[in-house]
Order: sequence, then C-alpha cells, then structure tokens
Amino acid sequence: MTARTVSARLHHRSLLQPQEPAFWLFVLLIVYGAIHLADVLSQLSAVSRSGWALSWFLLAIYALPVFVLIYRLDLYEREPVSLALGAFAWGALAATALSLEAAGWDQVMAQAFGSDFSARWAPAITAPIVEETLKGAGVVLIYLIARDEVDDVMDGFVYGALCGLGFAVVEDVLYFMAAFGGTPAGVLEGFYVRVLSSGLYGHVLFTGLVGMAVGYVVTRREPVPLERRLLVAGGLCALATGGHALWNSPVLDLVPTAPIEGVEWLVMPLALAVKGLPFLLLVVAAVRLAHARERRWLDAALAAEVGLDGISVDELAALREPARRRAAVRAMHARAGRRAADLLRRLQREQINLAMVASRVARSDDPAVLAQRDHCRSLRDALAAMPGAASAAAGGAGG
Amino acid sequence: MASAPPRADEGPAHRRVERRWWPTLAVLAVIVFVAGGSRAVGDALAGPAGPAVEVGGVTTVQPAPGWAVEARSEQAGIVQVLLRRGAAGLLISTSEGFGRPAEELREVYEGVLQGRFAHLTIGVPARDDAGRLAFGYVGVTSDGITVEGVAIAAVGPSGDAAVFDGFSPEGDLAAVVDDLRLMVGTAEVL
Repeated sequence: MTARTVSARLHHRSLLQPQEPAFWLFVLLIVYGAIHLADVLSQLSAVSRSGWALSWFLLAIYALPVFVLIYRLDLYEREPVSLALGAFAWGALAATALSLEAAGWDQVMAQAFGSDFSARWAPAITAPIVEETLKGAGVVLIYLIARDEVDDVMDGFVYGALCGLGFAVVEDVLYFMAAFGGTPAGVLEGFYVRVLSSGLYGHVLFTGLVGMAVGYVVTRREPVPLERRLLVAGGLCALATGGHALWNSPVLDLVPTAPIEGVEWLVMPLALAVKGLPFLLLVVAAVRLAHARERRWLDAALAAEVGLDGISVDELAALREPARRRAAVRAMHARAGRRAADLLRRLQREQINLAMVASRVARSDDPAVLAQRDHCRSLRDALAAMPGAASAAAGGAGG
Repeated sequence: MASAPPRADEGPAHRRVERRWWPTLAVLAVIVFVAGGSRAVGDALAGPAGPAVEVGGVTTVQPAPGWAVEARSEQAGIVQVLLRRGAAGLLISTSEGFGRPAEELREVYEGVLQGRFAHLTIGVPARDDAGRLAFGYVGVTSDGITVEGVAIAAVGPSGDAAVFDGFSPEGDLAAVVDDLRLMVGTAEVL
C-alpha cells in the first residue's frame, strides 16, 4: 500500500456521488429551489436594478470572508470544497425556497389561535422549527452523500453553519428588496440593520448547532449509546431552535421601530446584541469544546507515533495549533522560499493523515501506517535537503 | 496503536452496513411534511368555500376555501369587506362613480396605506392584462408588526372603482398568494 493510496482512501469525497440516492434528492431540491427563487427574485429585481446589484455586492463582501472563516474552523481536516459549496447552495436555494412553501404553518396557527396572536408570535414559533428543520435536512443529506466526510462534531458545525450562511444571504436579499424597499438607500439601511448590526448572530449560529447535533449522532457511535446521543442532539437542536425563537420573538425587543432616526442608528447594534450576543458566546464556547476534542483526538492518535519516522515531538507541538502551523510555514518561506514552504505544508498535511490512518487501524505495524510514516519521513528528508530549509525545520514543523 | 481512540467513522473492518434508501426517504418525508404539509393541514381546518360575496354593487368575489367574511363597513360612499384566512386578509374597497383612471385610484389608496402604517415601503406599480394596477408594499404598524401586501386598483367601464388589498404578516404572503390570485382574478369590476 502506498501513501498515495492511503491518502486517497482517507479523503476527500466530492459532492458528486451519483450512486447515493441522497445525492439525487439533494440536487433535485437545489434545482427546485433555484427555479422557484429565480421567479421570486426576478420580480424583486424589477423594483430597482441598482438596489438589486448593490444587495448582491454588499452580501458578497459579507459572505465571502464568513465562508472562509467557517471553512477554516476545522483544525485538522478541511472539508472538501464541493461539499462546502453544496452546503451553502442548499441553504441559499433549497432551504430558502422550501421555507417559503412552508409559510402556510403560520396560517394554520392563525386558524388555531387567532390572527392577532399569530401575527405577533408565528415568527417565533413556526419559523424557527420550519427553517432549522429544512436547513438541518441539508446537513443530514450531506452526511448521507459523503459519510466519511462528517467524522467529527466540528464537521457538522461547519456544514450547518455554511447552510445557515447561504440561507441568510438569500433571505437578506429578499428583505433588502421587499421590507427595505429595494432602492439603494433602502438596501444600505437593510445592510446596516441585518448584517452590520446583527450579522454575527442568526442563521449561521443556529444551523451550526443543528449541524453539531447531526455530527454528534453520526460520529460518536462507539463510545456513546444511541439514547444518549439522541438526547444530546435533541438538546442542541432545541438550543438552536430556542435561540432562533428568541431572536424572532417580541421578547426583549429593544430595536427602534422604523423609521430609524438620529441616535437610534447607534442604539440598533446594542439593542440587537441583547438577544444575539449571549447566543454567540454560547456557540463560541461549543466550538472551543469541539476544538479541544479535536486536539485530544490528534494527541491520542499520534501518541504512539511521536519519535518514530512520521512525526517528532516538536512537529506535533506545532501541528496541534493552527496558528503555530501557519507561523512555521511563514518562517520556512522567509528562510528557504516558496517551494520549501509548500513542502512543509504538505508534510503537515500528511502528518494529519498519519493520525487518521493510525486511528483507523488496530496495529501500529499495519501496512497503511508504515506506508504513511515512510511518506512523512521522505517528505522531511526532501525538506532538509533544500537550501536554508534545514535550519528552519530544526525546531520541527513548528519552526 | 490500539490505545488511540477510534475516529468516529471507524476503519473499514468496523464499518456498518450503510443503509442508503431508508435515511434518504426519511429525510424526504420530513421535507414534504414541513414544506408541503401546511397547505394540507390548513385546507383540512378551513372547510368548504363560502358563498360569493358582493361588495357595494361594484364587484363580486368568490372566497377560496378557508376564507370567510370577517367584517363589512360602509362610510362616505366607500364599501369595504374584509375576508380572512388565518392571519392573512383580503380587504376589498369599492366606490361607485369614481370616474378617474386606475393610476389616480392607486395614488388615493397609497394615501390610505400611509395612514394605516407607521412606516411604509411601496413597490413599483405594474399594469396587468386587464388594465389593473398592482403594487406591493411592506408596512410596519405602530406596535412593530410588519405586514406585507399586494394591492390591485381597478376601475370598471362604468367608472366604478375597486381596490383589492391582499395582506399578511411578514413572510406569510407566499402561503396565500394562490388564493389571492384566484379570488381577485375572477372578480370583475362593473
């Protein structure tokens, strides 16, 4: 078994898995969403072409860095780009269009409890359940399409958050063009209210938690009984839906009502933070816990490898901290050039692969481990042979 | 190596038999229920369609299933009938002998909407095949509830006028837009 074979088996499955029924359902609903939304969005674009263009421009400025940030949250194994884009597309097209179809639940609620109650509370009761279910369905489908790629709670968070980001972008366009009037001035007002003042909260966080729930159920099979996994996942989903419900509810609603004037513009972010900030902190804490678990996994997986050909103590110390990993690559680039830096980056990637291989086999002399260990050693040797690289690498991959 | 914790997806030797169809069908069932079930449940709760509603001798509207007359009023020659389905509504206002173009009727009704909401955004009007003027709007009430709606201003050959104003709380209009289209589309202004 060669290192190339090992690496190919480890990852990365793309979104394109026509042998999986889930793939076809995923594609079908995204196409449905695209057609449905094209109709809705084209009508809104007629309101103001310049406002329409400005909406997409502003949201691209917001969404691109957030996409990259979410994508890089996974410390050791970045998700395949096609799956990440698929999660975004699900949120933007399928989940949004399906949520529009599900608006009738508010009517059902009004019929059951009266129109006044429904007008005030339906956004807090039906919308969170409907939207989190439909966005979460995308994470489940991604898991069913590429089961190997959801191998940790953090993976679930990444896919869920990307679904949420896609949903937020299209929903924002709908709001900018409808609720905020669609003119450039209205779009700017909408951008201030929905993105600058509250862009840190909302769908990204809610669906990130739902994704964590999916990740927990499907990846913690061996150590945790099914009942407990479902209980934890149910708690995470309830937290996400509850946070969404609070965000949409009239409770603690300190936001100035339109038209917003003068100092109210400054009050807006603070008023929104009252509801959003606690939830943001909670999700940050959850992500940090997931990161700690990833580090524990790496430490345990490489414990028996440290000091052998695959990885040194110093290299492991750098490997487990993304900031140190990047610093080492930068230092290598400064001392020995781009090719050496690329090679070091590749060595780090293969050392993470070594951890994955080692954690998947029962014996340390498994041929797959031996091949991967040897591959890491050859990369280190090649790096050491490059002029200037040896001194940079002397302190291990951490530099 | 045995001490290393298993990565959650496990090695090939431990891999479970992957069920492909049932989980996918289960996800599909959830999506169909959540996205499509509201219409079925709403129709079941709604009951049959009521009789046609005549408004001020100017137009007649056939309520879609689930829609019922909630209020009638007449003031200063303006006859109004409010049809409701849940939180959504269709307010039909008529005036005999209006005698001016639909554009002026639209402007008058925009003024009515301005008075109804604390903050109002009005979309660009568009004329349909029947010569009616339709425009979307989003209003925020004084107690902070956002309402979205579509108003259609029509003036009949005899000069009588009718405005059909379909509205709902924010985000819900899509659920009743087919009903509104049916009711307003079949209502003729005399």
